[in-house]
Amino acid sequence: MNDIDLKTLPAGALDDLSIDVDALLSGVERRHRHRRARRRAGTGLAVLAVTGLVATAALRIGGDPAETTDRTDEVGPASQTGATDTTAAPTTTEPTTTTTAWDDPSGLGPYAMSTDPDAPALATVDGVEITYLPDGTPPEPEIGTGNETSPDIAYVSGRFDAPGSLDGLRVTVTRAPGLDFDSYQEGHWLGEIGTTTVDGRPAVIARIPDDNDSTGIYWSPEDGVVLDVHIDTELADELAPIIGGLRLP
Amino acid sequence: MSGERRAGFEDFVRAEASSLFRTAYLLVGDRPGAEDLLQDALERTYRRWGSTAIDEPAAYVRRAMANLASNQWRWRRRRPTQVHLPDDDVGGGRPVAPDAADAVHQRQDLLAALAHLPPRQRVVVVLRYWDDLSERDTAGVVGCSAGSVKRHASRGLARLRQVLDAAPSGSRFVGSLAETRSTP
Repeated sequence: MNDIDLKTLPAGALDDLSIDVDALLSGVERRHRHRRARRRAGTGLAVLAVTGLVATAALRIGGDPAETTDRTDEVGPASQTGATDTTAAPTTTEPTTTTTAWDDPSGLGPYAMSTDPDAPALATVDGVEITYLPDGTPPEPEIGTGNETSPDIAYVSGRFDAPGSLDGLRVTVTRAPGLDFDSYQEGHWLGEIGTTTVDGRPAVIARIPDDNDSTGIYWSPEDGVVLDVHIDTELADELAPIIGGLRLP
Repeated sequence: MSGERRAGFEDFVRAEASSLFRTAYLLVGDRPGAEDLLQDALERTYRRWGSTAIDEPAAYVRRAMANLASNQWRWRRRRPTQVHLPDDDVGGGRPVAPDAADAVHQRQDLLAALAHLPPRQRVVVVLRYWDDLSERDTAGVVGCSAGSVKRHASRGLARLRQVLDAAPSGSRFVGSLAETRSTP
């Protein structure tokens, strides 16, 4: 018999665990440089996208005979506001801040899923159709699958590279017999929690500052299924349309 | 970051690395995962070093690891339910004396049992019983009430007992579940 006493085990079982501190510090430095490079690249893409939008708007103005010619001359930084005013729906490529939303988490939501059966699905994660993605998001997700603490609880996660995002948009579908909001909440950890609803069903929404500052929400749209959506907090304004674009099969 | 602040960060890492690494190891169950987790958490700490956001650095790193371990583990392609330590992970590659074999088996069984806990219970059990944090300090690290800590700790220990009692190596869980750390 091999007796395990939780009070004395750590002293014996973990003594030989050691770590090379110099290698650890080098790894931290490497990750920090990589993160800064990714953030600069994301900002550059957002700037290019906005610039492209303005250039497109200018071409539209110039191509419309109803527009005055002096408008077509107003191409440049001074005319950007006016140019964007004449475009169709503005895009959300440029990240927006959501700091005010977290002053009162209870004020977030309520949210609703898609009720449009005819909206074309841009992507699918484990049968859940996604009919809205932030502008510029490639619709091909990186898929991860696995099981949680029990083989009966299976999840499928789709990660989309949303522009301006460090960790991307993550949509996770977890299925298990008898799975519901309460049992899912028991096992999943979030930071500053707020409660809200999705289609009248309880949901948890939380900001996770230590996770590249992401914001996540999960809820159970029907028994046996939990949906979990995470995105950078800077893009948290996209949560409502993303949730509004989710459709169960 | 100024040289002085950077030096302060490095001093902190050198002083706390071993303790933090053990926490990471218990949270994720394998050495490479623990190194990744700790590096990620330290990088986040490094970014905010010197700011008012970091009151107690070690607690900040533990909170970062708790959140990362809880929320990012699902992104791993492989989620082992049985943890098998490779031989070179034992004793840091050094030959293991026969009387250390029991500790090795205990660690393997412990890690495998921890893997059966939901993330929230695992985090609380590791912080309470291995890092020896009080209920209040654990609550502060993970951002919940002391009552929640107590509840998750109780359920986590019950689950550990259940899993360890059924361990194929014949390990047996001893010690009363009522025997918690002496700190409140």
